[in-house]
Amino acid sequence: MCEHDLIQQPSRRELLGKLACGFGSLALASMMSNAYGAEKKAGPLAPKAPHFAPKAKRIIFLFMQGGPSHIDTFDPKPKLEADDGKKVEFNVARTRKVQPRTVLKSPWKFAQYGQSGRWVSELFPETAKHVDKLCFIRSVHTEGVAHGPATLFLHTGATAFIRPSIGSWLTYGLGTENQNLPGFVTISPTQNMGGPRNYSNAFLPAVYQGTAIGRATAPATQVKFRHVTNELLPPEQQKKQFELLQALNREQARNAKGDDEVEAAINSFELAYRMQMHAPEVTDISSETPETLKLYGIGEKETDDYGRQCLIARRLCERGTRFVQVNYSDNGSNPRWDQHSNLKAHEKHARAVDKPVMGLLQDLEARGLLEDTLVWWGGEFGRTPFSDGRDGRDHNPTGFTVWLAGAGVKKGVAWGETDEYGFEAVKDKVHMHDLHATILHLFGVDHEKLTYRYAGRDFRLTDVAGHVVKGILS
Amino acid sequence: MLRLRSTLPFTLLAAAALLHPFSASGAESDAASIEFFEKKIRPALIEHCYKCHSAKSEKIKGKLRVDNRNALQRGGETGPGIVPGDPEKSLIIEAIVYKNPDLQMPPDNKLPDEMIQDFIAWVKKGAVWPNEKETHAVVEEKKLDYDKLRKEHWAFQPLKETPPPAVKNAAWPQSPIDNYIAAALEAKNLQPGQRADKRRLLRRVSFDLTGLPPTPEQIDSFINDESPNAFEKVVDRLLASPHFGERWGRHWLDLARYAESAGGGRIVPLNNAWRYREYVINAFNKDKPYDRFIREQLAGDLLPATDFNERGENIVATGFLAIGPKNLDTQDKDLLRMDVVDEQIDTIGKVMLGMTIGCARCHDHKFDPITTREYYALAGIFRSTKTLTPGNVSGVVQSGLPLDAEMEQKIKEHDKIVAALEQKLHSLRVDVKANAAGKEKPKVDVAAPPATVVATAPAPPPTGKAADAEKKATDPASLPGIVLDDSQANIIGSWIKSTYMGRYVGEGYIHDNNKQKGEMIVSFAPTFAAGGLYEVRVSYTSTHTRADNVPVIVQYADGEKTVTVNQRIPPPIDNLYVSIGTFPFSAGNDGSVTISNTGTNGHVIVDSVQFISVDPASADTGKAVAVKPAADKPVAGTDPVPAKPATVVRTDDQEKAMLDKLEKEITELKKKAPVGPVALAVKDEEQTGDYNVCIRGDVHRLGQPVQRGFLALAPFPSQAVTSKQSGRIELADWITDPRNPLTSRVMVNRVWHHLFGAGLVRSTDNFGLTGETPSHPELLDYLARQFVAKNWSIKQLVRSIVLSSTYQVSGAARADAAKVDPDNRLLARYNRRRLDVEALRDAMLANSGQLDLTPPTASLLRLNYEKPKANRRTVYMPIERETIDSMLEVFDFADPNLVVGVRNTSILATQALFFMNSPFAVEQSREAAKRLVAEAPAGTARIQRAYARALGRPPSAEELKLAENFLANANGNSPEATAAWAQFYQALFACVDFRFID
Repeated sequence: MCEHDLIQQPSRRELLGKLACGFGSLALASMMSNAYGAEKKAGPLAPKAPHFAPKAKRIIFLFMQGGPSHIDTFDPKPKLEADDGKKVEFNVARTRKVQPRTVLKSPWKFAQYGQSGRWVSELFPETAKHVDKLCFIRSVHTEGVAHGPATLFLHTGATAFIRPSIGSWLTYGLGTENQNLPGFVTISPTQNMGGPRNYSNAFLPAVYQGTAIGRATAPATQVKFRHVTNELLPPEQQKKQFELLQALNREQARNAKGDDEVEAAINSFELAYRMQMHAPEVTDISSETPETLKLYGIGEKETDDYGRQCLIARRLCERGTRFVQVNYSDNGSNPRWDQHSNLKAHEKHARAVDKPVMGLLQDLEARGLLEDTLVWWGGEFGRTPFSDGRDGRDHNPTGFTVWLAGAGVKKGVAWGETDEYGFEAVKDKVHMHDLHATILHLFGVDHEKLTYRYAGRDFRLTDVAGHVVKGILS
Repeated sequence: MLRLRSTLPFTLLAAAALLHPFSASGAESDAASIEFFEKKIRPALIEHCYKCHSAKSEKIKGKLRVDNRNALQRGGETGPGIVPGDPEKSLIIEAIVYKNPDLQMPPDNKLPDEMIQDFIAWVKKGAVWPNEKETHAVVEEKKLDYDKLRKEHWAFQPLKETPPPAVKNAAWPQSPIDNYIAAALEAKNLQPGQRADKRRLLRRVSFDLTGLPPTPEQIDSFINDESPNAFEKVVDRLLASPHFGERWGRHWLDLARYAESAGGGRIVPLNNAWRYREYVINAFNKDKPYDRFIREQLAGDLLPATDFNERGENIVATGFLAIGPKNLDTQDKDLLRMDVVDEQIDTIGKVMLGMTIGCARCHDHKFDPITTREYYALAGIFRSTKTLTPGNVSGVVQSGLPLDAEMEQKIKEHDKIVAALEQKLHSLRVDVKANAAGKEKPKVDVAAPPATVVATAPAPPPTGKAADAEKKATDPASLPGIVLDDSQANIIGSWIKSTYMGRYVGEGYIHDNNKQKGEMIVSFAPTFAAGGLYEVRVSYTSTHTRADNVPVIVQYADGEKTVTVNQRIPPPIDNLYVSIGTFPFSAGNDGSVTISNTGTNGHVIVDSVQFISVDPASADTGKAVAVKPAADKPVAGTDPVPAKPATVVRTDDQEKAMLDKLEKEITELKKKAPVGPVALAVKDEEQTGDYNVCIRGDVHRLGQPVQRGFLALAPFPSQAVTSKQSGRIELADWITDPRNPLTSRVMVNRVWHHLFGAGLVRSTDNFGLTGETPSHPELLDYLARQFVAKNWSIKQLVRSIVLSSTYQVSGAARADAAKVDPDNRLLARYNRRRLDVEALRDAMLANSGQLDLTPPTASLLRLNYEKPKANRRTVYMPIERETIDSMLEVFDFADPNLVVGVRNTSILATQALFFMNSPFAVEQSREAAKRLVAEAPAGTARIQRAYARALGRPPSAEELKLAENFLANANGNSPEATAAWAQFYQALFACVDFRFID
């Protein structure tokens, strides 16, 4: 609070100077700005001043769609073992009633790891090796009992209303640091559970919408930016065509003197032409070393797909993309981690993400990127300590675990607690709004001040709620 | 009540408090009580509550302060914080014990149990608090003076009549519109604009009215027509074109957030949404009066109609209320219902009134004079309107449309045949069973038609002696297939066991006692030895007190389906089962059948579920499935059922073959049933009436009831709704009342926006206090008055505007005006505008000759429109909220989740990339080049032809030179030459003058 009171808004020029360095020159950034006349305006995507000094410059969100079970992964509860098969009363979120349910123990063993002694189940052997880098939040709670509402709430802070995604808010608030690439990219997103609404700009200007590359269930080898390659014309031929187009445009612009939009249209082609040079390279991992590929589990059957997605995420981050979401998703009505029955299937999903995610974390660290990159792992909710059917668990929005790592968060920490069954968050509770507020805070953004006026009202990501979880900040 | 409490003058409360400076019940000595307070309570309050609930809080949460006794007793938004002596009624106790999931304080951590006990003891003993001065009075939020706003804000005032002002340049005005515009320009010492050249004007008006470019022939004809009314003729041709409705209908669909899927959680298609699209396009083509258009969309189902066509149109129109975005899988169904109501109110407010009414859902509107009570007065109308159907994933209401005589006859005949066959089947079954039981075989003449046939009604249940003969309880083991009794189900909620009504399977059935709707669920999980197709049946006992809308959800191998069962009519199969349908299941236990009492209107019965293999190859006899043996106990009150082998087994082969054949015949016949047209449309709920205020918008915290009604901001009195119907007709009456100045102003402003690129009020969807004020208020009112006077005719309105001098001015830059009026609010020149995505795509297809102008009479499936031959106009492309077409997405298509009066007009690199590299741009360039090569000889003539088609004008000298250079080697009709022309055409599609109109 005090922090931003002390720091007066620096001039935009100052900030541009500060933020643009390292991401190409300021001149380049403004020349290639996306929207309006480059010389006159810096453009809506130009880097903007945060409210106070940021810890994070970019974020990778590893979305575990369907709701991984916290009590089978990072939040062990001996009481489940003790009461396995017993009927116990729970305040069931689905029915909004206190009702008896049958307790189901975890089929996996837990152990403590690292210097910090954090608990991890045998589902995540790789993660277990790196617990000292992670900050587990074991008291998250959210809104929405079904996937659709909860997934939207996770991304937009609203279950039913049409609101901008957190990535759109960040890009709107801070701009993007590489004008050759989108500032907000989501890799292989689901079409279900709100689909594009999860990376939509909603009422924010269109430049802030997330760019989807690839789609859920399509192989990660097909993850590419759309329309950035011209496979029909040889480069010299395309150059000739491009020169014709721009000559025609300049001729026609003479009749539209001083029209910003016409100027912007001409500039947009200059940028597009350059993007053809840069964008295909980002999703092309052929230049990566065999060691790197191995680190991400690329080449191994179970981890190849998510490994590729994670590696592309790192490449985007290196090149200045602000918000990258890596989706472990499908398009089903029971998304991947949604084990209402056959909880054992968690093994398959854990195997698919464990190594790639830890590979990403190590790679970021080795490249010095982890210092100012925030990594967020989690689903739209957790799972119930009681059984659903015989051998599954139901959705649990009242208490679950996510972990953060990297920029500005404590290491080897477990924040908050759920009750003895792992059902409800009870200590140091972190609502999804609080998590959003905290993420914005790490970017130097006050969640109460990042607003946009639409239909006569100032909107924000956290609506009228949200507290920064100061206890996890390093 | 809460409001009253918090608005009581502070002095009064202070005076009241003075009477009880200390605890009212002084059982213990004051000193001890105060010590207890100071030791146990105050420190706890300071540590755990002050951050959000004291005078020093940055923001006092819930308007509750706990730093003095008066404030605590007075309470906040939810009610009094403490009731001294009564912990049960004290909200702070309720909050700290964490029993109410919606009220838990402190929010992060429950207090230690000991501390909670201290608080309870303290309140019980009178909540003693030492007498101290209140240091900070609770500051009341500043209230807006709603009356003043209603009286003074421009948009709420009646339409004014101001005579068109006189202007100096008397030759310029062609219409009173021009007088208003010229007068404002002259006031700034600016001359009105010069007339645009004919080619630009034709291109402008063609796109504006139909969304299509003029053809070279239309250009020539207009250029050569030197008559004074040449432009008027063009305008009338365009207004009469069927493409007018496609253009202007799409503008309305932007407002109506038109889409063909629900767009919430699961992908739920909105089947038949396309009928609404067709209705809107037709309405604009027919120039349906705007007031009528509104009435039909809000209340078409309730309006009288003269024939079945009109009736059908009226029903389809209400799709407006049904096609909004919704999260049909929201589990809190009360919340879902209210979210839908809210979405409807918000949409109507923005679209028809230019008001952001939705803001008043949780609190009185912070800017506009709309109270929460007014919001819930409207909510009562839409709570009385049925939009959803029950289910775990809810559905959206579909209504059958009235049939023409021929269809009606067809369906009747089909139903008759099916009913006759079913009767035959029933008789045969009785026959077989009687035979199996060794009784005398009743004579059934299977060939004779039944005495009475009621279409689709089940066979009448046996009565009298026959009923006595029927066993009340049926042993599940005696039934074919897999039978799961209620005793084998996973049961949620307090279901009650019963054997009161027969027949049933197993030891009885369970019912929900018509209570706790939405909370009681029974789920059956079968195990299949083999995968395949199974007919799913559920059994129940029927009577008139049952629900007629019991949702049965079948989860099968590749999906989920909700079927609604009417338990008031007897189950048609053996008076025991009703068929839910046939579904594929995989081997194992993946499938389930779930019956709940969500949204039901009577007793819900759950008895058993039966799965009968319809795939003989993988017939699952159920032998592998553990069926709870019923042999332990005799079935109460009934004769024992004959032991196995079951009846069917004893049937001789011939009879079984007959049964099978008949069953198959019926199934086949039902598949081929003629289906009448169905529309996505709302209807009145069975129970209509007023609703309550939801405290802070929480649907689970109802406040006072509110009579249904409208907004007080309109400058004419309105009555509360007392109708037995929902009140939608009354709402439509109120909106379309000529005295309602918002309705006409908002619509004429929208039309102006589409013709000039900016409204007279640029915030087209917000005429409230945070919206913009009109640039020409007299003109706005003139247009609105004319609009109402001319029977709300959109075409007349459009015609009068495009025939004005104001519309026909040149778009060339004007240095003099740019200084005084940089935003061109005064319209000294025409606003250059980017083509929207529909016009852009249609124009590219029109150039390539690939555009198919026939309107489809169905929804275009994605597969269909991706085929080049299905290049229909863009307005007909399927709009799925989950997958917006990439071209639409890139070029600022209206977000189908929002009311969009003004589209984004971004200029992005992704758009440039689309022109440069997308398969669509490449393909259309090639097609356009092929057509061009065939139409004109190579060289200058060909370049000119391309310019005429693409840009509606000849190339400039410089442009011609550039093109000739580029195409220097592209002579003749060779494939290489055509490829070069395709590259040239692609550049034309991408150039500024193609993408903009001026």
